Amino acid sequence: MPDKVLLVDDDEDLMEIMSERLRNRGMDVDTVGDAEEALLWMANKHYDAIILDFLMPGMDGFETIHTIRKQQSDIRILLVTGQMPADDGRKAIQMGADVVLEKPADLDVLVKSIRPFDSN
Amino acid sequence: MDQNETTICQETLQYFKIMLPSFSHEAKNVLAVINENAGLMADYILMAQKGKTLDLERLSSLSTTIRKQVARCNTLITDVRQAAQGIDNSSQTVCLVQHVRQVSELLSTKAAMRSIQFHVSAMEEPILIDTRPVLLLHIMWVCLDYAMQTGERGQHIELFLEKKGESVLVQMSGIGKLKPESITAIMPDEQRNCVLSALNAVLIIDENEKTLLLKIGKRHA
Repeated sequence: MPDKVLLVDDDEDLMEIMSERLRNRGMDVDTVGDAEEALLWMANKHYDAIILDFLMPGMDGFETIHTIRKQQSDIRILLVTGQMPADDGRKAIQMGADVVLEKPADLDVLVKSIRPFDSN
Repeated sequence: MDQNETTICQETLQYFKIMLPSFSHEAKNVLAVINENAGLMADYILMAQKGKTLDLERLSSLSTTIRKQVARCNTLITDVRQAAQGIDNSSQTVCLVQHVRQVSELLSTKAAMRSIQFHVSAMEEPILIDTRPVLLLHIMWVCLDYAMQTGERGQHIELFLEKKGESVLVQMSGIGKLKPESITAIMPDEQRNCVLSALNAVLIIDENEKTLLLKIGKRHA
């Protein structure tokens, strides 16, 4: 079964290319432009991982993490951000994010974070 | 150095303190797109080595995306360099339209988080003013930040720029419920009045019309 990944970013160019690269790695990827839409998709489909931009239209990143964790406890939350003070990164982890990566992020690191127990 | 000049120096630094994180955020987004493009091209090379035909149209589209991002970053860097050239606070002749565009672009991520959009309307020709550029950028930032904080989600904030006699006007409309005290939280009265005075400017907050009006002198002859 391919990993089901929800990619959330308001930059269409970034989303298009990242989703293609993740699909090239055998993942089943859906893309949405904001957090509220992401929560709607999550209500209808089970995802293994969600890749989130921290600063997105509609909802603060912390609020998004908190809401996702309430909705689905076993999803891996990967936060990718243009910039984030160290305190906010720690807070994001405390609130339930599994990984916080700074842009530009290495896709292979993201893939390893989606499949942390995959030795390949 | 008198108290006013000390305040002006502090506010000049304050502008760079609030602006540089936004610049860095936007620049990192550009790098992220270019980085993913490079990664995707590397993926295509691997696939081609395994015998898959390269999709030239797709490669052309990636090239266009990279060019677009380079242009986006070039604008950001040029804007910051121009701001840095005004750090000594000497009076310079600048284009108001460019300065308003610059601040609205740097605030675009923050605005997008609140689903707010800026729309700048101005005449075709440049609106030149003799001013202290960093202070002008700073007061524009404060006004737009204030307009965003009072605005409701999904709002379009309209900015009209026009020449009027010796002065220029920046009118912001489409704003939510204005609370004059909220602007003090963004920039305290004493500092704001000092900056406005140095710019020979007046800021009028009209609660009834829900508009902000910034009148700045003096227009370049």
